[in-house]
Amino acid sequence: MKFKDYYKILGVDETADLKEIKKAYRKLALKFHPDTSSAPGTEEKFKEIAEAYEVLKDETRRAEYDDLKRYGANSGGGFDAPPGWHSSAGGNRHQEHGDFSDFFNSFFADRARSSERTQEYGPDLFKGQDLEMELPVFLEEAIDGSSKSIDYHVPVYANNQIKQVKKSLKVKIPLGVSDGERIRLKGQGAPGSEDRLNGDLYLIIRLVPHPLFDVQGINLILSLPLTPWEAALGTKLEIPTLNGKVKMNIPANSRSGQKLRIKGKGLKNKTGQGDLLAVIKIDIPPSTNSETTRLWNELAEAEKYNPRADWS
Amino acid sequence: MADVTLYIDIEELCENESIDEEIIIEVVEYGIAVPHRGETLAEWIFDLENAYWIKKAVKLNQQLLLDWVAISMVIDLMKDKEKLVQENDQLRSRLNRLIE
Repeated sequence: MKFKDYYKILGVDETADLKEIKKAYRKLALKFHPDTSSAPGTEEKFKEIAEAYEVLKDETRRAEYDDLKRYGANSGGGFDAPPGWHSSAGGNRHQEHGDFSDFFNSFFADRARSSERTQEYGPDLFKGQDLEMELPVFLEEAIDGSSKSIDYHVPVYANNQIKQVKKSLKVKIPLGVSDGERIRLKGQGAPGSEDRLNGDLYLIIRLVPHPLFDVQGINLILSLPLTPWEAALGTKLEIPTLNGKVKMNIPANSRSGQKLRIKGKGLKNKTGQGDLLAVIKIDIPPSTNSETTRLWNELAEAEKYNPRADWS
Repeated sequence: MADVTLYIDIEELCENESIDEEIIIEVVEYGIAVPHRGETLAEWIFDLENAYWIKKAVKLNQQLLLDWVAISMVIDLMKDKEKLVQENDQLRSRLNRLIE
């Protein structure tokens, strides 16, 4: 096991008082907290800082650590506990302190747990760990509330070891889920030790990008390419929706960017039913022949419209 | 078929996450989270998004040693950031369809 120099981690002297330790922790925590920094490796760095603070902020734990440190200074290479050493908290260890190092779990986990009952890092004492995973959902599944099978790994503590056990579940996707929404599967997280409750599994819905539709709230947006003559003369088209095609009249003189609304063909949520918005995009043929060019020229002669008239 | 829940009541939230009721009241008073329904404290029910922000606020309070005013500001910014990232992704996808 590797010895952890908590003073060095927090950048404080061994004689530092609690105020200095707290100040140093706070400064580093703000710099490396995963919610305030997106730089790679910050999560590991933050865990290290939190572990050091967890030990040094508690007078008894700090005194025990100082004893270990003195002993460690005289032992070469790896670190083992002094013969007969045990934490003053004693008792059986129920579960590893998942976020902290082996060093912490070996010497301070029990004491940390007993003091955590008030608040900090406490949930794993009372129930198994909550798990969180992303669940990709197709738009078609979001509108019809279909079922999905999921496989995930649950950390199980047994024989002083944490093992990852594979678990499979079938989940009914609630009707009208939106991107980023969380759903909770009660008791499907990590098992609680002894008679404690299992943790929960949180699934974060991730709507899979659709080849045709974009999502805007509960509305769907479809890019609708039209030829110039379809836009000018109007036409009848079959428009794809998430549940089949619908016939639609494209009015004459439709313009690029114009939105045509198809009621009730969007997504659903608790507040209502969205629409499908077809956004017109005028598309010209990729290649022309001489006859087409002649017709374009004829049109250019007949139509004096200048879309850039307001530039001058 | 696993049971899916979209809400959590205050009792369960306090028990599961080891959060004191007083802290949840504080989080609600600072506008960090809003109960989905419930007239009295005992009846408060939160949707999972609000429950997520409560847990996040408690974690920030413990780990960064920030007061509730600072946490309220941080969480507002985090919510705004999340919304902007989502909007940005949607707009980028729409733009790609228009220029492709």
